[in-house]
Amino acid sequence: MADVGIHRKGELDFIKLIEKIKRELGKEVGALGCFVGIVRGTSEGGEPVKYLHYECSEEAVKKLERIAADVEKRPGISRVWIHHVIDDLKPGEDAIYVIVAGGHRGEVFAALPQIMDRIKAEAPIWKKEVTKTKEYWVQGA
Amino acid sequence: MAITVKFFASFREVFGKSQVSVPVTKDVRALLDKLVEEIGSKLSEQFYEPGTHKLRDTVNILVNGRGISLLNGLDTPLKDGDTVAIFPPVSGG
Repeated sequence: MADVGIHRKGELDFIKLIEKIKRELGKEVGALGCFVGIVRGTSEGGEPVKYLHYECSEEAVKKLERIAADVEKRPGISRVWIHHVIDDLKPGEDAIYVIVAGGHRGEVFAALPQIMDRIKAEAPIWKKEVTKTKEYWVQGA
Repeated sequence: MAITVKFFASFREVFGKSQVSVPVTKDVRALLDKLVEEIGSKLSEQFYEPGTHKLRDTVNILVNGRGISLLNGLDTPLKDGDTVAIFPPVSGG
């Protein structure tokens, strides 16, 4: 069953999450793929980023559950974890963890970008980039 | 007889609140007109293409969780108890 969540900064420890996941893996699992989204230190315009402000609607968890559950139905995929941090995040801080467990690396590697593309297109989560001179809501990126 | 309007991200900032209760309007178009009347040109600029009454592509509106593009667009009727959510394109991750 998919495991998803929305967290404040500091609530989630990536290493502990991986340890927990490894304890829960089924015997059919031969590959664990992981994507970590990190706040970039430079904006599209080349300016140093002070922080990203994230916010979401109350529907965000349901949407992440739907995305994870859809991918778990695929052959070769055993489980999906999606955990997003919603807060003011500085460059270098983690914003999202997507972890996929499956029988072989092919299915697992393929699932990661597809999950991220769906999150970016469908999940009601928004981010505002704040630099030294300006701040603006990022659209569709 | 009221509807709940929820604003997210840039719309929450311009409106100054994340949620308001307003008297029922005939449809979504009339609701947007009412909101613009209250907040002024700053909100109008966010809703419409410059110099027109055409909704920007970057404005997403849900009525009770369904996008108005799947309903009747700006002519989608509203009734007592409806919830309208207004938000810009999402950008998680």
